[in-house]
Amino acid sequence: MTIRIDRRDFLKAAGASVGTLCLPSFVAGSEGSVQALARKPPPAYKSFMDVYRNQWKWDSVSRGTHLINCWYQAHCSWDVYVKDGLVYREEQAAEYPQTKKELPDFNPRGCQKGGCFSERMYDPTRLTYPIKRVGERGSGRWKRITWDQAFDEIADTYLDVTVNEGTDRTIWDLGPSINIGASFGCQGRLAQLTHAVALDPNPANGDGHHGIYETFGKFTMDRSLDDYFYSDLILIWGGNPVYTQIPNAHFFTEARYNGTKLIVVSPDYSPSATKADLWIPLKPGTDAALALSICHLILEQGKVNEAFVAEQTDFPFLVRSDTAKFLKHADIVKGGDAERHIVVDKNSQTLEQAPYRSLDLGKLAPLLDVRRRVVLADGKEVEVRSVYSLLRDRLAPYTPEAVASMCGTPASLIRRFAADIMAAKAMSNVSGSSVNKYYHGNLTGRAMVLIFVLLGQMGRNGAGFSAFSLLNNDGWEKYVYGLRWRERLGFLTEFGPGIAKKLISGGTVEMFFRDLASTSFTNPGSGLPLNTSSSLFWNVHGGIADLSDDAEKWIPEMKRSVKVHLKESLDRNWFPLQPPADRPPKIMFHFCSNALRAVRGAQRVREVLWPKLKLVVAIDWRMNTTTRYADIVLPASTWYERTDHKWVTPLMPFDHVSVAATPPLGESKDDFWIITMLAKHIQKRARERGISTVVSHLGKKIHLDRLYDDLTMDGKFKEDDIEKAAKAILELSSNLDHVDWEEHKKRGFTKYRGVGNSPSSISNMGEMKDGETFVPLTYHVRDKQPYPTATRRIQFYLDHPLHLEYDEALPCYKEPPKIGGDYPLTMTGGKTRWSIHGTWRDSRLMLRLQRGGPCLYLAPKDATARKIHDGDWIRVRNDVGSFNVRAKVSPSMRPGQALMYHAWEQHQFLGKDDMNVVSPSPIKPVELAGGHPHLRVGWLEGQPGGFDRDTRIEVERLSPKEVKQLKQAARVAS
Amino acid sequence: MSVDAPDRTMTSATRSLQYRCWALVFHDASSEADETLLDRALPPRSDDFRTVFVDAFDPAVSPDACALWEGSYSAQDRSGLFEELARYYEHFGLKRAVDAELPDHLSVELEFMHFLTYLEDECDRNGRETADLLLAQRDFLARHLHRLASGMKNRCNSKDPRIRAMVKGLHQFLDADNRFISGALRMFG
Repeated sequence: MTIRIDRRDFLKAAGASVGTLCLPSFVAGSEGSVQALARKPPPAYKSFMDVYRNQWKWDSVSRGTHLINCWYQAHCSWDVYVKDGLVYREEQAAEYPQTKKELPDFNPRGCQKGGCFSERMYDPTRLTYPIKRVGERGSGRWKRITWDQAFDEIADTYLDVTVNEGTDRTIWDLGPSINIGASFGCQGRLAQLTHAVALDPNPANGDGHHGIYETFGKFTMDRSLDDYFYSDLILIWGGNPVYTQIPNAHFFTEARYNGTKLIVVSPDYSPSATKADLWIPLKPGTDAALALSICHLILEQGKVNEAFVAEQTDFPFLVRSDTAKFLKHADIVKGGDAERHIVVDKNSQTLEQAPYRSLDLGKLAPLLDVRRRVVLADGKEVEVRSVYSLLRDRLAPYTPEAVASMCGTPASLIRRFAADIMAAKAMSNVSGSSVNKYYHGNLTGRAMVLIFVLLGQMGRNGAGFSAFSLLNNDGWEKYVYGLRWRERLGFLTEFGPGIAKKLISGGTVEMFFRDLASTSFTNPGSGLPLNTSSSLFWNVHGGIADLSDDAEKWIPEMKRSVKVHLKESLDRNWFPLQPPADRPPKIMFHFCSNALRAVRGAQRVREVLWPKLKLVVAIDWRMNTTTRYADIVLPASTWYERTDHKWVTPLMPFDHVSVAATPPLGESKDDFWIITMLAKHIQKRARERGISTVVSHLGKKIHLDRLYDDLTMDGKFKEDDIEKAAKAILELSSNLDHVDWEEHKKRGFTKYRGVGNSPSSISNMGEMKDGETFVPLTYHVRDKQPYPTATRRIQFYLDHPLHLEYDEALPCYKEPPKIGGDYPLTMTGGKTRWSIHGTWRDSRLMLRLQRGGPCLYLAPKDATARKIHDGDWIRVRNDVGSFNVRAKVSPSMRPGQALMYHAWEQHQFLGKDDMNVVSPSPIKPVELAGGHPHLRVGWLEGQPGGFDRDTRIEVERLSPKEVKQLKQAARVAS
Repeated sequence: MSVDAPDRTMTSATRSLQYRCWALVFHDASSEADETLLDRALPPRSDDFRTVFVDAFDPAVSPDACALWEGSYSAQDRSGLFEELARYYEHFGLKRAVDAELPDHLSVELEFMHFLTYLEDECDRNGRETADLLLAQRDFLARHLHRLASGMKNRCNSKDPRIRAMVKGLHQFLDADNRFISGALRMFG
């Protein structure tokens, strides 16, 4: 190509174009055309200052939020200021109502990430047109294509794969930014109608709170932030809210003004620890020992709330010493009920069935500490012990003195900590999700909650254990369900008999909807999408399990290899995997996700899974690690460019809506449009190719030739109808049905009226009343509704074969494994202050506020021993891999601990590998337990987790020559 | 590729057309060529060139690209930059079109210069004073467009000769036009 802009050639070529005006980027500011404008006399101009003389006026100000997973700090309503179709700035709206006059309110809300989103959405990472790779995956060679080209290509590959290889070969990798609003609703409908597989994003992230799940049969339970004001003791244990929950942190300070004591437990002197009344330092991963020592002292000092534990827990339930299984009614009475548990009544000293339909004990007074012999129905005599009796023995070794050597925490400090806990009238906690990211995090979770339970600190204002936090409307499932709009009404009609049956049989509504979620992993005949566990998926199909071939060396207690355990669990159908191991995936859609950044050991996924994939499609508004390895990238609009709403948490019980302040930039489109148009092209290409239906692997007939018609409910919700769908979802919700959509948009938020019936949200099990704070689990504690566990109680004894095999029937402490090899440093992690996952990780503004790139925090002692100085380039290595990073030497670090805050994008590292390469994340066998009344897969929960906090590493300084070589190599590669 | 320096023999109409042409060159690699101009000024763009263009100028997909946004070469807050540009455009009666590139995009700033030079031509032909327009052109070039073109020139490391020619040529053109404007302003005293 030659460009001829020299005068002679140019003028000759341009010809008649001379003297014409063409301004595609502009319109006339006032009425009329730009041509008419040009004919008028131009305005006076003497210097650039003249352009500043006119008053600046915004074209509009609308309410917006960021439809992203800020999780514990979600969400904040902002005023979004618009001029000429662009967002210039945002400002905290700060109009949340106060729950009660004496309580602190929610205002203002917003963090520095949200405060610079107007800058972020226009920065150089923004995608504004569809692109297709023209080189190898990851080569960085792209071509701009049209939407039609993109959709037709995707549709044809999708039809080839679906017709020839099955519906389950297409995978939707759902990231944490799924909004449970219109965008996710549309994706959910498409997955439901096509029987493609949707990855449940939660377990691989390590957010499963598995110990809480084992104990409560669920893991969602959290309070409203203003309820912390009622606590006289708040434990920050496993979280770092001052650092990561910026809009929430003031509630803890305000509680302290009210006399509340704040105690922080963390290995490092964390930002939250700096605000505490007492900081309890400990070795990373030893929290369970500390918690069990507190429990030991509670028992020793006779502080157990016996009435509470007798009613709410499995403590009085009898366990057979011969089998280590619970004693059931059928064991002692021929023809007895095999599900009913047995207690000893204190008054009659007889064996009695524990109440089943309610936790209310009535006249029954169960003995807590039981050890006796009973005669079984077959005449055999066996010893039985109550769970409490077993627990007491279990706790006996955890004296403060013994635990001091496990945790590195002085015994005197443990005693002081225990005294504060036992003195509290109302104790709450901020757990965060760090604990779950330790290999034995389930045991830590169980031990921590045991403290609360022993003291009856549950289900009251200011008192109770917080774990996974989620609150959402329950209109989403109804929107996704079925084919036609009229079936929304059938949703409840269809499920009504099921709910009634559940209630008649002694179940609860919570149990019913949890069952429903569980079936979405096997065969969602209910018309919901087909889910599979992301952790299992990446382990089996992504090759992550290969990284743990040495797990038996790192984890001495392992009885069999990770792969053998995995196979056992899959073979026993304890965990359904879609598609099965022998049916490799062929198409991956990355939706609101960034799997190659997030999955521990993601490099392995690229090596193992990527070559099997015929097509990788990423939908995003910014270029990230995963889009770089995609075949086609579809540019999504940002959250200020669409109208949709999103889930929150009970901490902040307001549904938030983001109103489209501007049109999408460039050719970007909202997710709803993208998915609907994809369905339209699949339908069109199916008709053109003479394809009508296929039968899915689960026997469902998939109508490819009418996919768009079905997705849109016969045109009711077409591609441009994201707002209409968002409104419909709200109207279908039972806990937001009081909302007027237009008012909602104008205000930006509306308070929830209840926890709703959505499978995870319902587990909060408390009521939302005007003028009252929200307290979870009151339906259990106050109203005596059973818990969704095998014992229908808060359950500390697990008689699953895997728990018995690994000595985890009761909570205990196990030494942290040396994952990655026997190296001296433990690499811990945490959420970053400067980004929400990877979304702001490469934001220029956010990078200015920190080191400007990935860094590993090291204690001065460890750095000095290795001749490492602050800012040096270092290599981090173990048996699994290595990566390069800068050292940040910080006196806040505990010696032996190295801290890597999360979510750096792969391309931000020097060298080919990132921080995930050293974390193989071996599956913990007990987390594969299934085939049990409550240890089974559920939405977001009950699945094997992802771990990185026990990763062992060594670090060494890179020589200037090595750094130079790495930088040169990076330049060549780019 | 060669670029003639604007001089006294070159009318504002010609300069205006040159800005318009430069705006089209950098507007976007895949758009259909402008029927009345680019078809004749530029040969059709190939698939290969579209890839090269994305590689050279889109930092979202290519970390080494030289971005087409002024904000990439300025330490100034981006919204502050947008504001000043919007004020310039608004001062001369223009607003950003709904589907336009960002206000600091090279093609938009070139288009604005196309407009200012077009206005100058209109004034010339109608016997109106043009000094204010020349001042505005000089300031806009100095405060914005030249910074952007210089930033691109320094940042451009594309190996493709066409890209290098585009970036270098633009810089030369703007340098020359800047000299031309300064000369013209001297004539006004």
